[in-house]
Amino acid sequence: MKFTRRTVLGGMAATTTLATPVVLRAQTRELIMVGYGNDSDAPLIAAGEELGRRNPGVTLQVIGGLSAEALAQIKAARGDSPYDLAVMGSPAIINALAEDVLIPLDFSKIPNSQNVDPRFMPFGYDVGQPIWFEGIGIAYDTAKISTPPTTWGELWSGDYTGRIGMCRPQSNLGLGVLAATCESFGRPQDDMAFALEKWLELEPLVGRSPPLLQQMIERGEVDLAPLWHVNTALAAAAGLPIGYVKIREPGPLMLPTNIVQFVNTAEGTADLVHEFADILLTQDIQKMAGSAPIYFGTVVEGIPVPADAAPYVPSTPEELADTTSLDWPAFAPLRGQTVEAFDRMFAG
Amino acid sequence: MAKASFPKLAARPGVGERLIDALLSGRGIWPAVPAIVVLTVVAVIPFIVLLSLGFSDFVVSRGEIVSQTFSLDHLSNALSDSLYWTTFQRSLTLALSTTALCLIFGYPVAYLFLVGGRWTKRLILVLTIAPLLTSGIVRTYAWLVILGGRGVVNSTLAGMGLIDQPMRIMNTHWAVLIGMVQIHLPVMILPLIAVMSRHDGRLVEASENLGATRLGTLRTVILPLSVPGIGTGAALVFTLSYTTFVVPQILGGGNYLNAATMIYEQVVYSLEWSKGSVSSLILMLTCLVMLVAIALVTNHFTRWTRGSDA
Repeated sequence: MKFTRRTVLGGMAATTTLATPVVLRAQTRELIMVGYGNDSDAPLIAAGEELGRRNPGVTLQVIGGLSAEALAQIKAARGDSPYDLAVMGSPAIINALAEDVLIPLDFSKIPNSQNVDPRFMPFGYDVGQPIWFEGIGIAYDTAKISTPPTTWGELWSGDYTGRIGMCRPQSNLGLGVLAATCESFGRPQDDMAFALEKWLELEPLVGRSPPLLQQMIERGEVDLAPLWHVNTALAAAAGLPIGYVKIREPGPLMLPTNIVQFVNTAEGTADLVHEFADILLTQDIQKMAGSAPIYFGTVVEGIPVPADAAPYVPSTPEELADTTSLDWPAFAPLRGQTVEAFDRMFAG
Repeated sequence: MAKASFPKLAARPGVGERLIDALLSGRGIWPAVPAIVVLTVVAVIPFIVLLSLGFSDFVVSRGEIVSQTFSLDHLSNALSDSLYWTTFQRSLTLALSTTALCLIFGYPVAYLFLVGGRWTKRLILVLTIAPLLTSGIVRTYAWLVILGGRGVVNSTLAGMGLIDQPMRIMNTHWAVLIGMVQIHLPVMILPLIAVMSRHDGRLVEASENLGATRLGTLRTVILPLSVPGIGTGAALVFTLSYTTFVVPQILGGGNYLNAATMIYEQVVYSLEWSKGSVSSLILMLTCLVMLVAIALVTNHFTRWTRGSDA
């Protein structure tokens, strides 16, 4: 073959063209995480963009979905996780630990973890980093209820029988409400049979998930229901006549959300996961997460609650002092049998 | 001695040519091989793996099954559990009701297609196929708007002064049944139309010339001829209704449990795959039994087509 300038240049151009995708792929790393799949993903996306600025070629893909579904997918993949990390509520962490699909985070690699209010750290159960929290309260139709209940016990006053909604115990919300009911009546939080009996008395309409329960209030099918403050805030921000009570005894109730890292993640993503968690705990991202329309409760000390978030997030000194959570490790492992007991009683 | 000359034989076709020839001629199972491979990889093998979980106790470590021992406990527990019986009975009732209602509503449409003019036929085809162009989830969500407390039905009834308070239709068995019938109606109508449009129109003319009324012709000529379509439609609608997930999930509310939603919860939320596996097995076997029953009934009513053996 005769080599001319034209053949050499042509060969170099072809080689460059063919090699470019390989080179680019080698320089690009993508973190795949399980998020919320709605507006609440905004701070995660912002933190992902910051991660990309600090590490050129790194991108974050946030996939909406339930952490329970992610766990099922990882189990189906026999541990070969399609996700690197996730936002996960404390009870889901307990289930994930039972399935042995989490790699504990190294908190020394998350410097901003030092700024987190010490009350929140235990809810990561030594594997996850708390990043913000959601409150469990009562959402109500302001057109139908002028004086909402202020304590869990008041739900059984007789005024709300047949008017209230509840979430299935497969969700953290449904399970948490049952535990709060036990606490309210002086029973151990894992006495799920008692809590289900009490809720049966209220003749509730049941929603499959918190968003569907929220829609049931919007459609006028129920007048009130226990709901995450975030769901309520998003509905109210859309102009719907929905109010929220930070219900007490026990309460105001909160459930921390954590960043967790899954098993079998691609090599080299662990450092990025830690850096991402650290970015989420910066003042900027925490302020963003705590503002409209999401109003997540922030976990970093010294960040004030915005005025428009005050109806949803504990803000007064009394509320902050009383803010509490539930003994999730006591009853989260009972989720499966509680769902079955629920179906026997409510879907019979 | 002169050599004998023979006519030259055609060259033996190559492997590729023979394969294409076999595919095009339909000999053997060759035409079905691609589908069989796909089904084996994406359906049969995963299903066998899933079933194996239902007959074993296993230990998981880091997401991987590290030990597995044979056990019939999960199956015996399921068969002795009243929740399973109630749930599968509900699914069966729902599927049979849906199938019956789809037949009742679908048959007149197919009959109209048979006797109608050109534009009637076109209109029926468009109205039957158009809903299939949208997702089942979208069509199901539309019922939320129609059946909800502030929906079209309640607003109309309240506007007419027939009710003071909104009727509770959503989150009931009736909402699920209404949604299922609407979603699956085209699946009943299309096989009926396909079978009935193949009828020899002269049979109907002959029946009328012999003095049969329209009802008599429908009963003695058209209905028996359309039994294969009824059987096909019933089998399709029953299978889809019995294993449905979306409609009960959206319209049934949180306290409506059918077989598919139960399996989903066992697998996804409770992470109890042995239970989910056993439930899937029961669902599949009961569905198979019902399909065989539908096939036997269809055969019974079409035995006259087998000539003197009938």
